Amino acid sequence: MNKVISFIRLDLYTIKPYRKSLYFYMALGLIMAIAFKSLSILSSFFMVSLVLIMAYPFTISEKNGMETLYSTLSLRRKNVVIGRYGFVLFIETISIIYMSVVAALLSTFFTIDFSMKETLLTLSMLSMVFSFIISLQYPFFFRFGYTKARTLANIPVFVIVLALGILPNLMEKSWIFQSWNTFSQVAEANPILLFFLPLASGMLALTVSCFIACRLYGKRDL
Amino acid sequence: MSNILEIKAVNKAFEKFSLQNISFSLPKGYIMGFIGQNGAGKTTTIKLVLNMLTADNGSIKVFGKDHLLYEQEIKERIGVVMDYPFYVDEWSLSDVERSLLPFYAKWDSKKYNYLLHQFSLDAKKKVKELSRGMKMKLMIAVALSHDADLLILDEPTSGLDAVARNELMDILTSYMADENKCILFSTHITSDLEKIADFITFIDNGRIIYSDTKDDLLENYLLIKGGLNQLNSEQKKQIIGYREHSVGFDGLVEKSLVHSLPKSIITEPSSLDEIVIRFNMGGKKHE
Amino acid sequence: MYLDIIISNTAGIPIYEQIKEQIKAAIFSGELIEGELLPSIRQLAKDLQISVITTMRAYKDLEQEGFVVNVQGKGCYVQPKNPHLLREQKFREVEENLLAAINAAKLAKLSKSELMDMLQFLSEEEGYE
Repeated sequence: MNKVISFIRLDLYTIKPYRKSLYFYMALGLIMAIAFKSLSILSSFFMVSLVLIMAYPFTISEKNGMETLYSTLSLRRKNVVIGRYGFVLFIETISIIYMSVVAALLSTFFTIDFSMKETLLTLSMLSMVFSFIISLQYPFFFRFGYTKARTLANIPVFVIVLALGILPNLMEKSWIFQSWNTFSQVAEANPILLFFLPLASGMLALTVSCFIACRLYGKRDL
Repeated sequence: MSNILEIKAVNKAFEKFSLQNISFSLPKGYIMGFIGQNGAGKTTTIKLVLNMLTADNGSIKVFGKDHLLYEQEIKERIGVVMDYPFYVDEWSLSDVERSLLPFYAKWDSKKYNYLLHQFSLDAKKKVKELSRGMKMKLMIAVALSHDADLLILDEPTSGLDAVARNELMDILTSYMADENKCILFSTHITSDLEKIADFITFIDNGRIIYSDTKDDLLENYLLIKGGLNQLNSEQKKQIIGYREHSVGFDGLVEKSLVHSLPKSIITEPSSLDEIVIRFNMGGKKHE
Repeated sequence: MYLDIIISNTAGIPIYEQIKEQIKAAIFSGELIEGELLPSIRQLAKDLQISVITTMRAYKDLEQEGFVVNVQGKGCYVQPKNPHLLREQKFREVEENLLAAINAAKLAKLSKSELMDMLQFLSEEEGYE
């Protein structure tokens, strides 16, 4: 466990020199949100920032030959993988907290329509989408390295975006609609459930993905 | 446990190249030079020790323990220096320490800063701002700051001038003042090893050609030069890297054969470089 | 006591031999006295910029030949001058030099009796009976 935490810390240090672009996007998001009086714009920038960060450890470590560094440290390969996924979880958690606080502050100071409940639910859903994307991408990165896997790894993103696009059409199919109805009724009654369910499924996806990535990375020739 | 590194019958096959039956050992308290031309398999062997590659078969033991089963324990005690710094180039030298510190139980911060000072490295500078020689010294500083018992260096001096290479030699000989330390030094610049290496392992085309003391290697092979017609074809076959030119020939032979050659043939001691060159040129191979 | 050891990489004589000879010479000349501690194997290797195995070999040979004794954990100490050894050493030197003279004589096409004459002549000059 110790090693995993040390690795998360290492990943944070790895992206540390590049935090300025992150701040830029976040600042831009804030400005746009204030300008357009819309919190959903903030969410979009949130998503963009996450996409950037999630690939950073791979791009930076590949550029600097850090696979060698990881091999010289007292780490097992699986610590590297679990640590990277830990990094993802850490960033997601911080982001959700950060975004909720910012949303609350913005609405107070700039009188934007805001409901904490809605914001949290939106963040939870976004988080789930991200977790799914990462779950699909990371095993590719671990197996082939970022540069080689880049194109391959973008396929899942397309698939998910496509799925989200088709979703409304699918919804019209009655049986899905009905089960969704029942689901929404249950969810309405339990907003807390609604908040944690997407997060949980995201976590599940990440866990499965982590197992797979561990095996792939474990066998890889560096 | 007297062997800090023990490699036995290791094989690793790639598409166009393979390591075959690699075996050698490095006893505690000595420096082993790992020589061979580019592409001979030195880096591949080192990667196998570091578990960056998995061997097809064979065993690798470090500090007497299996390198896979005790990987973490072993890596706490190894310091690695390569020809490029494998740190984030935007890191400051202090960032380097902060990132790596949690991975080493024996990390000594005072020593790290002392070494940076001794090597004239500014802790606030970024890794990418360092010259080649300074980057090498940075890696050494990191390796020495957690009391590593085994230093593995892979081409640490490529691209460095003679002064920088000499500075490295000084650092390494000081490190070896402790008889519990060990160095595996892989390089194709053999002049660095000529003086200070205790053992030499010579690898060529994926095979170990020689692995024993440097003194024996240099005593066992002699350069010979002579006239075009002084040798018969049988004798010529015994010569490693036989080279004929318009006014004579030269080559490398095992010392034991010298007495059977005509007395007028000139013999002289060889250098490590010459040995690598001659073996690469072909002719009779050792073992 | 200063101990100077100066080795030549190009002399054609193995480095461990050079070290041995110089230490022996220092013992004979009295520069190294009985009971004195020789530089440690590793320190010597570092100072001369040679391998540890070379200095080890030199010291081991010196011990075998009776010139020094290695105390575990402390280092190599100079043994008392052994007159036997001294004489043996000098015998060897005479032998080597005579062989060198014989070889040179052969190259110069001197006959054995001519060589003996030379020896006789020089001995008289040197007052050697």
